[in-house]
Amino acid sequence: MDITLFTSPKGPQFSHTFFSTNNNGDHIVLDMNNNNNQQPQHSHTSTSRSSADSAGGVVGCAVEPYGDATGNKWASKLLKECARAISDKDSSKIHHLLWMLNELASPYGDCDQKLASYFLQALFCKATESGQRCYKTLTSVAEKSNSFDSARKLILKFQEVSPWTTFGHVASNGAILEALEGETKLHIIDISDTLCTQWPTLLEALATRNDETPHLKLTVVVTASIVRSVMKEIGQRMEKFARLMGVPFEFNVISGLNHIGELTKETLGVKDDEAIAVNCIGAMRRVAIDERESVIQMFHSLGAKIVTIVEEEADFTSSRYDFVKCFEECLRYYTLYFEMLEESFSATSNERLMLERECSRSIVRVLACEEDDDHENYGEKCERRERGRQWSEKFKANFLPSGFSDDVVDDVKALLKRYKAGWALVTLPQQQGGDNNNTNNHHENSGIYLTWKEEPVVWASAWKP
Amino acid sequence: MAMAMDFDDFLHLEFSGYSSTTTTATTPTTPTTSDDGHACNWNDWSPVVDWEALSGGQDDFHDLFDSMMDDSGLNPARVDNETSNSVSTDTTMAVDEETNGDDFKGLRLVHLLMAAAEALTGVNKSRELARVILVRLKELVSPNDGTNMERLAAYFTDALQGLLEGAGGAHGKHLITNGPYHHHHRDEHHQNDVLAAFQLLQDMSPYVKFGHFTANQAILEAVANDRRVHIVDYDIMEGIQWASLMQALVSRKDGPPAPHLRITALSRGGSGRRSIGTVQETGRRLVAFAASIGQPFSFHQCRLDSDETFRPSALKLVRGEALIVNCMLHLPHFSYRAPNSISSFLSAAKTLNPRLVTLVEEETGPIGDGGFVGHFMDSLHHYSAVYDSLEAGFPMQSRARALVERVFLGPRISGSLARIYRNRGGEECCSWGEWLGGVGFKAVNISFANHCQAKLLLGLFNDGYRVEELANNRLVLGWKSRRLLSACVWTSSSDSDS
Repeated sequence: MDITLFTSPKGPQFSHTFFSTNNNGDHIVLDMNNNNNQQPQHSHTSTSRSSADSAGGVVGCAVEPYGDATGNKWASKLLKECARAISDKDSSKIHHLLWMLNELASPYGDCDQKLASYFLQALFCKATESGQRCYKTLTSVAEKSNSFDSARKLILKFQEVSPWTTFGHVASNGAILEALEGETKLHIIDISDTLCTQWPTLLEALATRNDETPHLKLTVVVTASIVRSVMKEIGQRMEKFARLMGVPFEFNVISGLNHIGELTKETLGVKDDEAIAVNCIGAMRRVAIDERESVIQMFHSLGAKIVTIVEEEADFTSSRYDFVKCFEECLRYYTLYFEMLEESFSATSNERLMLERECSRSIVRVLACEEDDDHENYGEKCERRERGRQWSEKFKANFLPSGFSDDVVDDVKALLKRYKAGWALVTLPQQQGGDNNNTNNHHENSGIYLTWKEEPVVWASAWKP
Repeated sequence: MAMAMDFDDFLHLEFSGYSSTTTTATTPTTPTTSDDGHACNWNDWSPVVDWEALSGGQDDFHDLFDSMMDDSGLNPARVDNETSNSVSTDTTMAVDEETNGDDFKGLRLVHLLMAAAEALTGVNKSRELARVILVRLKELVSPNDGTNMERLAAYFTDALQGLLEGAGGAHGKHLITNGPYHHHHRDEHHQNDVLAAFQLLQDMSPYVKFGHFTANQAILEAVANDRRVHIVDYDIMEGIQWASLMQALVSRKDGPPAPHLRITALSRGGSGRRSIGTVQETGRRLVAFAASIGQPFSFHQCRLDSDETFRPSALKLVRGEALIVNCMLHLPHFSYRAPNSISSFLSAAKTLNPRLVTLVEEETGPIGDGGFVGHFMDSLHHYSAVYDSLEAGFPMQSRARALVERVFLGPRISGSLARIYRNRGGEECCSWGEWLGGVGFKAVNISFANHCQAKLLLGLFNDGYRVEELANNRLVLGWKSRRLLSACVWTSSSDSDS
């Protein structure tokens, strides 16, 4: 990690100079946090950070012989305390903690400072009941600054440095290809915001199959309004690519939908002679909680041969009436995510910043917005994730778990090898120890997990009727 | 970030009740600082600066501190109990348009310092949090620029940093004799700097002279009829206290001729600021001065042990001499030395049955059960008053003040905090004056003349200073509402002097 030393605006007064955080974004600054002595939690990393820090030779950071016993960092402590204070309605404590967090937080600092900054925003909104307004502002700001180029660059860069998204792509593609083997007319219904980055490899696989190349119809259902504007360009590129691959191809986009549940065979253009695959990447969590089961039923009614679901492994749903519990889960999950981002991207990456800002919107949405306002105000932007186990329970009502074949699992593992260390595939939930090849009865497993530093972070599953 | 704006407004609403202060700056004549490193102006005890009363000058943060101290808790943010569940940003508190940025920043610094002190020692202590707060503070402050509060906060931040770094180990044992070891204090101050700062301090404020004059007057009164006087001085420094005593002795109008004066100065080992050499130089200077005014005089040195305890057997005593024990612990003396040293000195003093014990020390506020944070805030209050008083005297000479702050105040702050940190959780530490009373010394009345002299002295400086007689043997110098220095006089029980 690069360390850049800035002198304070008043000139170098101390023999050890520190950075100046600048909230208007002029500098990307880094804190000289010396985390050498942090109790190594399995989900935290200290390798790349601490080695670089010690090279700085700055004395101002204390190497503490007695670290905090629980290994908790200052930001998480303060944030949790604040959440509790809000839940307890302890006014003066809320003020004090919000003030303190505001002093110490920065969206351009280290992980602690970033988490402090974004969660502070959510806590502030919660305390002042301004979550809805804040969310709208954040969203509209993001929409304005979005463009095809920036969105695509972001997704591709993320895929380059981290398997967070490609994990699900590879697994889903594998399951889809196997399930639709031998079919001549394929119709894939893609409910995601991946900007079709999943499909080139699938098109290639179709093109290089031994038998005759099938016809592929791709219907993309776009939920996030940010993405709608770029889909036209994407469509053109996909058609071009398919032509190059020699795959007969048809591309449709469905946007402007407020609720996925409203989809029907007709609106999707499902024909009877088509073999249907439904590919749902990070879309289930956007569905309003009480509509999730009916959406699953809708999938069933489409007559899909395979349904692939990829979701992030966190539970913001079952605790939705318990603010503190929900907060802690949120903090846990995003701490992982931010640390992963920090390790994966380079120090001065704009993409990372954009991804973090995306998180900030989700965080505000989950923690500071009321569920009931869903329908009128948010459209499909729920953001309340559930764990794989929870989704499985819901899917089992209408589907059977399909599992992933050994080949697919191997493909995924090969994918993971292309990235930095720390990533692993786990077949059974909550299992420690990394790789698990126990897929004899893969039909009974309801999914595979991507783990980072032994924490499950993404869940991918396949379902058949 | 839009967030930050909301926040500033939000906090602004909270603290809107605080009114701004305006200090009208006057232009005092430039003080003459002594360029000659060695010769201090013995004969010049009136300040060289022509002080003009500052009109309407309210001290910066005294109201703030008073209001914070009065509050039962130490929470910086006090919010009226709200009936609604949420904290609304649309409160209808009138925002004081006059609240200026400096005050707001100063308040912020105070809160951050308190938060850091809390994080270091409080119930939910977290070194990690303390460290992060100190990092933030360092961005905001500098020991050379900015307002009083900013510079003061820089030293307090440094002191806390020292505690954070050093406190993990053997409870700061290494802080005992060497005082603050933090970086830019570790360097020995250049001797010229020390002398220049000393001279400035005398010119800018009555702190040095108050202690000296009160003690000297008590001594003069106590030895009115003695032929031989022996003074044992705990920390002689440049010895100017004795120059003025000698002057007073030789110029006594009626009564006997000047007694023979013997001074024994305690000297420390090689480490620290005061090496033996300086004490010897002081001795030479005093001898020369005494000769020049015809004062019979001899000078001795008494070495302290390596751990700075005092052995009375090392003193040479002469029959028939009036023994005076002089203990100056206040600014600019570096009294962050271990309490062991001072207590050994004063205990030994008791065994010597001195005619008089003169003690000048810093006055601490009422702490109650405040623990480290309480002491910390009190210390902040104390030095804030000192800074304000210096500024009142030298409003334009910020560099001169910065020098004094760097040479004297900074180390004192670090030492002070180190001491309270070490004592935290322990029994309530009392002042040395109380300690003297406790071990059996008897109080000696401060004479009317002494009290008047003190008032006159203060009158030469600034309206903001005041002197109070808090006990029959104790005069206290204060700045505005804050008591800063205490001078008290004692005698051993076999002798009584009234």
